[in-house]
Amino acid sequence: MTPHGIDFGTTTSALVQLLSVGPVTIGDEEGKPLPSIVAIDRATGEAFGGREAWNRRFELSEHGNYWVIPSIKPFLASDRQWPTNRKVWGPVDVAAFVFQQLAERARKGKAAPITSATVAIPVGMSAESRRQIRRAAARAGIDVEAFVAESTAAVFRYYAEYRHLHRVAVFDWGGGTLDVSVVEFRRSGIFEIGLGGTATAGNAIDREIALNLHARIMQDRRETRAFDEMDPHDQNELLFRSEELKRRLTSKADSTVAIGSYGGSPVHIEVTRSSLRPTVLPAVTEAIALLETTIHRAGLSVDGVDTILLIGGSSQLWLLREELAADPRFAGRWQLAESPEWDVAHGASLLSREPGAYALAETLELKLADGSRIALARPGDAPGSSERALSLVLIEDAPEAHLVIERRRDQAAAVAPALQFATPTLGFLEEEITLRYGLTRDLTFSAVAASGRFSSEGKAHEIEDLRFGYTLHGAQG
Amino acid sequence: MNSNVGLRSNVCLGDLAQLKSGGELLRHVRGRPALRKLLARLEPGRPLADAAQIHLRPEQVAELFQDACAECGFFTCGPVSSAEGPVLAVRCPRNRCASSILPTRPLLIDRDMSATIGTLAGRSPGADMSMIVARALSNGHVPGRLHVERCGRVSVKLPAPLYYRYYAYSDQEFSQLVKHALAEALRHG
Repeated sequence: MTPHGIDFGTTTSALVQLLSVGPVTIGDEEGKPLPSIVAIDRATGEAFGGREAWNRRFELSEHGNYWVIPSIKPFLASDRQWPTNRKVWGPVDVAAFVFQQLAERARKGKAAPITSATVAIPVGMSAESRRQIRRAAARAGIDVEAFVAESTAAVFRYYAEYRHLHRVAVFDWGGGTLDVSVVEFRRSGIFEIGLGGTATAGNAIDREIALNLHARIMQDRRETRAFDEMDPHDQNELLFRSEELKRRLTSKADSTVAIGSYGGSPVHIEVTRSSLRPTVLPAVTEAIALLETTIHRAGLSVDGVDTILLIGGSSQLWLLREELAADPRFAGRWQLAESPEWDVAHGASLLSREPGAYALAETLELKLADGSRIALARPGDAPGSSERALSLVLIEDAPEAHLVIERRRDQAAAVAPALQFATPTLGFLEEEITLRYGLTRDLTFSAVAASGRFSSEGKAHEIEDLRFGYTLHGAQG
Repeated sequence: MNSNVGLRSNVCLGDLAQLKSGGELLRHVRGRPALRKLLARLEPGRPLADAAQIHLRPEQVAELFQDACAECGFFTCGPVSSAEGPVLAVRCPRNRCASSILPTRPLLIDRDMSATIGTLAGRSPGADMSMIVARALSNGHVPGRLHVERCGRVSVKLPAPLYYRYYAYSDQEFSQLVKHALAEALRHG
């Protein structure tokens, strides 16, 4: 079976398949990753997406006959609906449409048919969103054989180059999320030792730039209208121009924003990097702080990381490079990815080539009332293994049982909180509490506790930022 | 900002039959309601104090018969770590007590003692009841006892050396010693 990797991104989605001749990239008709946008005709219920929908997104939004969904990823676990005269579209339908487009393009491009794939997702993506992705992919005929953190997938892409190193951090700053992985190369494979994520990413920066430009426009016109009071078309236009401006400023120090009509008048503004610096700096500072925090959470100082790989569209931001270069801790320690738009999907395809090559890389323990701990999951445990159960009793007269699960990295003495939840009880000496738990195929740890005296099964609580270890024998491909 | 609060585990491995039989799990039971329930099941008809002596650890006995702090009105919690080892102590929730985390000792108190403490408090503004008792016991006067007509029962917080010096005394004996010490403190100004 041909290995496939999918980067199901906020702004764009990419598919890479590993053929004997090498990796083949599948995106839009321009050879770029497929825009994740979906446009749905409200009358017919028909949808289209990709580059065409991206290029026409303002026109379609303005038209009023279309639902335009720039990205379904933030809404996967929501109950959002897009009704049409024919059917009601839900998050799974929209996500399935994106997968179908990728599968269709693979088929048209005479590539190998896609029946299964490893899908890269943001660090800490909710368990429900993962299940929705699995459902959506299945709707498109794709079995999700494994998930992998987007930032970790990129490491596989550079495995041949990095395997002589000890520890690498990957900084994956895309349109919707920033994901950071810190991995350790050991004889037995690649181990995640730190993971971090935030939603402050490219789209948020675009909005900040748009707000800055709007303020300048209003100042020049001596008007006081707020950005949100502008016509939606004008808002979208300015956001679009802001995103373009951000990209232009990656290669030149100044640029011009020209809009035919914004609030009824034309706009022509000269923008320099330095004028935008105060606007963009908070996001860059937050991103670097997350990188540093994640490295520290891995038990390291920045010096303990051999290299930092920057991938994702927002990593091209000029100010990020300036700030990293000016910081002696990071100077000379980072490098930009060769193909930042495809590396994640490429890395996922390498994992797809070696099914079952991953296992938990940390210990999860239940903390008991007497301070002792019992291991619930250990390093080496495989996701999707059978569910296990424990019988517990309350040791105080309380209306709820308090379950505290902690995590321990490798053999480290220090533990950190991983999951805490409460489940209703009748009280002391009234019942046993059954804790059912296990590692899921979706790379989460699921725990359900319920009193034997209640008929309900209890709510599942999940740990979504687990660290895994990967054994990739042939990742040089 | 990171949260600095969290749930405290209140479960142990085991089944209901093990707990009801009072085996090893009994050592981990905490809180007055749960201890009362368990002793009533294990020793039906037996006085609570006797049942507690048979089945409970000293810390659990203390928890069962604990009194509210004389100053802040809160119950003891613990065991709490101290330099001398684990003690049952009051963590003052209002941050008003002059004494911080200290082991507590039940004190029977009568009208005479109450009046003496009131006078001594007037001489030492800012001192709480625990401090007045601790100072009286530390004064080094000739030890003696005075009969206590029990009117009330409070918990006073004591520095660890004093706490352990009077550890072996019953509440009645301890209170008689305190009453004498308070009277001496009043007499010597």
